[in-house]
Amino acid sequence: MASAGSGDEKAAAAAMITLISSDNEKFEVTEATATLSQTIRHMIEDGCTDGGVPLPNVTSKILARVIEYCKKHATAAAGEEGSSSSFSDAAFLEVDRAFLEELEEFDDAFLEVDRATLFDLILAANYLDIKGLLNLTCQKVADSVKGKTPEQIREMYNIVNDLTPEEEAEIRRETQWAFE
Amino acid sequence: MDVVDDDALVLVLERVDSHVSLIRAAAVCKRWHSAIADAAFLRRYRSLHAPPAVGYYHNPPGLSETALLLCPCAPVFVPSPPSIVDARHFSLDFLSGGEGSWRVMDSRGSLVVLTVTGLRTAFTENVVCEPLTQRYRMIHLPPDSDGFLYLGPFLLDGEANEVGGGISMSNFRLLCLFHSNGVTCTSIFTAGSSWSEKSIDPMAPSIQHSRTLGHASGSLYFYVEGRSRTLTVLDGSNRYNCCVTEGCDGQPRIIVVFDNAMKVFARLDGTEWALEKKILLSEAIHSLPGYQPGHHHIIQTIGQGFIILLQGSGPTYTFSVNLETMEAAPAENMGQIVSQCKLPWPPALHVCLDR
Repeated sequence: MASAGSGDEKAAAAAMITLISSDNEKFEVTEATATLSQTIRHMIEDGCTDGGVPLPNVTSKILARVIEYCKKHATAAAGEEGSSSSFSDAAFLEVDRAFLEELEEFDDAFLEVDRATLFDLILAANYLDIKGLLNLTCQKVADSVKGKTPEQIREMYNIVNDLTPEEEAEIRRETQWAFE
Repeated sequence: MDVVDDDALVLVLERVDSHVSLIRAAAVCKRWHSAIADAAFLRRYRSLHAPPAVGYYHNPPGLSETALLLCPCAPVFVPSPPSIVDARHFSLDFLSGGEGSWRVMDSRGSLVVLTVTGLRTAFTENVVCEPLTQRYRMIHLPPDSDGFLYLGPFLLDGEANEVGGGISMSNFRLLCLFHSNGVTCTSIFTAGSSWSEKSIDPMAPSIQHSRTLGHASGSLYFYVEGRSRTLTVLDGSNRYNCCVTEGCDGQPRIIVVFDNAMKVFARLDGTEWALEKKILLSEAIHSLPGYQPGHHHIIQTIGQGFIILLQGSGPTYTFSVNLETMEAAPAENMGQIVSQCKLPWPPALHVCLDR
């Protein structure tokens, strides 16, 4: 990475992109931050980001959170690229490790949101195609389901049970061992 | 949860890191059930989360082959921690009516094959069963097998199906090994079909003059004295204290125990066997409770992902060694054959719902 291309990358990293939320709020972000979203990366590659990128599916409240995540992780990605070039001594690995721990702490704190926000983040991460954020938020919901009964899951997420009593009994009968 | 579209729901469900929790999630509502029962979803889930092992079946230890034949006995189930499903669901009581000697012979996935021998007759039957769902099937030996020595059954995968499953009560193969007058042959029973015969290549080492080392990944391994140079090179010493089994990754391993050293060989690049791990047994077990110093070790039980060793000189002491971590732990005598049982795949989600 420490080749002739790095100068161009730095110039690209400094380029700013404007993101426009569904409620018309504008967010200025660096290209490095914005391109964590594959959707926006493709738009930049196609040269259709002049005048801002409208994101009609994402509210300003959620977009602010998404940008917060992308900024943190874009810095992490840049750090990783730097470290893999020429430094590989123990001291540098130590720095890397500390940084990864910090990133994990950031992710944990980032997920401390109410359920509605968590679902909005999943939808935004899916729409913007941000792999890391999508994985983080979906895993959080998946972990919350683990070890719960169907009743507990319904209660937790306000899900209406539309199965008839016969259907539910039949489902449980098929895999009775999983319910005891 | 209603705001989350079907795409995102699938992304959440495929990350539920527990087969039992996934099955429970399928009983939440119609939308969740149809998302989980979908064949493409099940195939993907299977590729991300292999069905976990729930425990082992073994025959009552300490009984000789003859004694196993003569007394009414049934296999023992030992749950593997962590307990995923209540152990009572793995009881084999639904099979035996108290009569005959039931012995576990092999397992694959959620299926176990047992042989039942009548107490008064020398009649042997194979029974393939899925303990968790209490389904079983008697499989009579092929009619033209009279006069052959029956060496035993091995379970093999059936056809790979669209949901990533390879073996179930409606989709398995049972290979039976026979021997007579220097000829070894096999018959394969296919679920939903019948017997097909295939003789083992007569140029292959005769099973009569060889010792079975174990089986792994669908292959049976033999040691033939004077012919198997590979093992001599690997071992170079005690040719009897070695076995073949699957590692925690399901790939074959050769385990060689000589005096105080235990070596594990793997086909790391897919072709040549190479030393993967090595430990000094005395160092691995000296801090275990009840440890007695000793240097002579015998392989007693060949499990999937572990072996049990008997320290033979002086007071005997049994312990297991995990082939992944190479850590030792005190163990019970489990006899020669232990058969690992996993949760079934795919889970039964056949209910048709009105939408």
